[in-house]
Amino acid sequence: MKRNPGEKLTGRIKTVIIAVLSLSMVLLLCFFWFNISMKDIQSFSIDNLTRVQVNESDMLSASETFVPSRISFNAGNGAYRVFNSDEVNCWATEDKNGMADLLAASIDEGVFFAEEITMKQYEDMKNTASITAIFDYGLPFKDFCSLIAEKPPQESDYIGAIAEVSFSTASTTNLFLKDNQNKYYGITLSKPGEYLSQCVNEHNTKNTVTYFPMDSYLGEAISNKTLVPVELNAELNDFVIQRDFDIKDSKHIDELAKRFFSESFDFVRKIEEESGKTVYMYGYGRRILIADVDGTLEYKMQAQGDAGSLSYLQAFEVARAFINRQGGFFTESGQELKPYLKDGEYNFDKSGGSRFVFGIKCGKYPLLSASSDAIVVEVSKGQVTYFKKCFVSFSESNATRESRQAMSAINVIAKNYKEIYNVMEQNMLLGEDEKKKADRFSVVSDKIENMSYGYVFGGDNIARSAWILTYDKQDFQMYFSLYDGEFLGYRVN
Amino acid sequence: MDWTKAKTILIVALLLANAFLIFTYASANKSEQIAINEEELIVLLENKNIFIETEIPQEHPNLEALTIMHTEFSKEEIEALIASVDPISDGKSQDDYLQAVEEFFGYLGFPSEYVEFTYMEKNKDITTLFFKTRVNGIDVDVSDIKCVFEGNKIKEIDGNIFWPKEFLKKKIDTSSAVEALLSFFSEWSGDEGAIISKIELVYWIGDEYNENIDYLSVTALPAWKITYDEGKKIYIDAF
Amino acid sequence: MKKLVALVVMLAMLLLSTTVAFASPDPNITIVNPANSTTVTSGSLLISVKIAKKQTVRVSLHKNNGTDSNPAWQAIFTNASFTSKNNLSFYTRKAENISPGKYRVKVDTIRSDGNPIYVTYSNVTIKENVEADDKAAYNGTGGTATFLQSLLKSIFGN
Repeated sequence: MKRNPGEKLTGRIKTVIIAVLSLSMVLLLCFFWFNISMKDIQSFSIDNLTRVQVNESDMLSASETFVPSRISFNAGNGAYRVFNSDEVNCWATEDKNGMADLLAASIDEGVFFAEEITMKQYEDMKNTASITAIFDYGLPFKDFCSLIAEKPPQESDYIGAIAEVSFSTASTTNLFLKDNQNKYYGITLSKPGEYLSQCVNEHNTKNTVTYFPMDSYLGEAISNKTLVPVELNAELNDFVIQRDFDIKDSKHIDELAKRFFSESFDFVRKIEEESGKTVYMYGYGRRILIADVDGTLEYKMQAQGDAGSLSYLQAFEVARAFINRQGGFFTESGQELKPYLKDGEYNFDKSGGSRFVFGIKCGKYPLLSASSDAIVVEVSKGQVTYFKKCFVSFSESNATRESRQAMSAINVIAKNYKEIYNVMEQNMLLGEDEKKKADRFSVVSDKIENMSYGYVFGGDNIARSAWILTYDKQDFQMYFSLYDGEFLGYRVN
Repeated sequence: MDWTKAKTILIVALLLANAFLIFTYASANKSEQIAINEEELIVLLENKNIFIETEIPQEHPNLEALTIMHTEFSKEEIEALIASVDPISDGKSQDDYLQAVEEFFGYLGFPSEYVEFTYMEKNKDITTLFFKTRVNGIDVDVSDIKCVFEGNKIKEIDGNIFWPKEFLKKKIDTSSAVEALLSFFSEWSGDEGAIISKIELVYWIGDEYNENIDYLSVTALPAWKITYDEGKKIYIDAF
Repeated sequence: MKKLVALVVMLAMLLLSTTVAFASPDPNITIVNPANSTTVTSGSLLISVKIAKKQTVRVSLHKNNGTDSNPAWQAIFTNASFTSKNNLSFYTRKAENISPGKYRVKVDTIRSDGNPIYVTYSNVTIKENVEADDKAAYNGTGGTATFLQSLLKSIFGN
């Protein structure tokens, strides 16, 4: 029976209607079975899809993060050479014969033994041809052992955070450790560090900057062993930086804020102040995000629940995941920054919390702000309770030029010691005994804990090549121009 | 096989199935509403010596969050404008005052659709008219304006003045007054009891920013404002 | 005649004082490293001169290839010039590949006319770098007893 065109059209329409009704029935059944409500549909937004998240692999792992801040080589005659830990291959090597590898082997093979030694014994070892790995941040020894070996040794419970690990060519079957409580240990290795001995010889003949301890320059009045370079020809050049966001671009700031509040952003209060500073608040102070005019993002959250505290390493993973969710170490303009762990502390809040401070590098040199660190994360009761970010973009090619002579480190201190003393006095960083001493130069020189160089930027968005004088476990730093020693600024935490 | 007839039957069956599912789904959702009614709530409150001496609002429209902007004028600007405005006639009815103030607000550029007169006070020669900022029938709690007359001349304009700057896209499902009163009940720790004199839905910016007004703009979210014991206030988020 | 005698005496006194001054060390200069009459191990020698006045100095390092009584000075480097622009400065320099022997650091303080007015010396003896093994002060593997001892110490104090 042939159908006329009208009937054919009706037939087709009916087919379409059946298809649509079938689809809607399937959807409704899904709603029912999966208990989806209209609220869930409404709260889904494109924003959730576009939230920035970095690949896990792009974020620094624990073993890449917890490396020495720098490594110094002693020629055995009082002259030293200092390198970034990624410039020398003696901490964790492919052939498993670096300092960390030997330590791991001694733990795994059950040979590990730590004997407390005196400061003199430790210093005597360091005075031989030796390598010293220096840690500026507080890495608990036990957590470090968990990272490199199968299980931390029992003795690690009694050793504090690692300050230094040394290897001496005079005692190749041992490593030496100084912890943050000024205790010293000799550690037994399962095999001699032959490769490390070679490293010592190799690096002591390199044509790089030579360092001497401060007391070599200044005489017996000073007892400071901080390493200071003799002469420095530096390639650092001043360059311009761009802040990560413009406070006036409120749409962009809102997008950044959504990453912190995601599903609850509709109930977040936004307060814009006269200065341009914008505050986002959820739950009347339970969670606060502040976007400030200087390009910083600061997030605070009140810890919820009674969850116990995490170990330093576990807290690091929580911090790492949080940083990852906020875009990792990529700037808003897409530049990948080079982070390093600048400072850290376990139990900073006296209830088992951990704090991590990241800095960034421009080439080989630290790029510091006179007011904020690149990233600060605090983890309490298993949650991130504080996060502050201050990223900048820059062109690394503008940061270097032909080498020229820097002002000598000692003369930077000699030129500026009165200024340094005054800043210390104003900020109450001088002890009673120190205030009584007439020789202010000695007071200022004796207290220096590290003398390094890099770049420092302030409110004018120019990163300047600078000498960085560190005091008080990085709580106080002074910055002077690398080439002429002029005062640039300071930072007190 | 008559496929046309079969298709028709299938369509009818699918329509019935869809209707059934929609109805069941909708009624299931409805039953997720609050498990307490007004009478039960009143009894609960009275057990704690809390008495409601006002009507409990039945309606609670869904509202968008609102960004409100703080407006300030320099004293000199206001004074200059006041000096240039004519005094009102001697009749001086409430309407006369209102008209004068409306005109004046017009000169100041106040958006009349958001200005709501609340009440007038007279004390000898001083007459004060109070206004609030109201958006779509909901008061912006932090914002108030007062206009003071001395005799028949405007003397002063004062207050914390906020105007809506931006409405956020999404509408918030507000909770009911009964739900808010339940929260009030559960957080009430006083022994003496209370007398609730007013329950209203307002736009609220939170305690912290209510005190210090030195910001440019702030988000106001819907909240139930419960006034009790002659002037004490408590705000409960309406979401 | 009297005037002539007075002039001669004056000139003689000037010359004498200049000669006396020329031989004496600068009170504003301290050769911190190497400290005078010390002995150091060879390899690298750090020279650090503290200058407590705005002035120009010239620094030299010589090796004595002769004896104490009959010195024969061989220059390692001479007349390295440094002008201090502050009231406290340091001249610092590293001298590499210093072989064992007796050395002398000499610092001439230069007057505005270019002539030296003071000279300051520091004598140092460079010895062979002592073998690392001889200096080893730690050879321990300790043992449980020592460890327990130190553990008890840490709990109960010394």
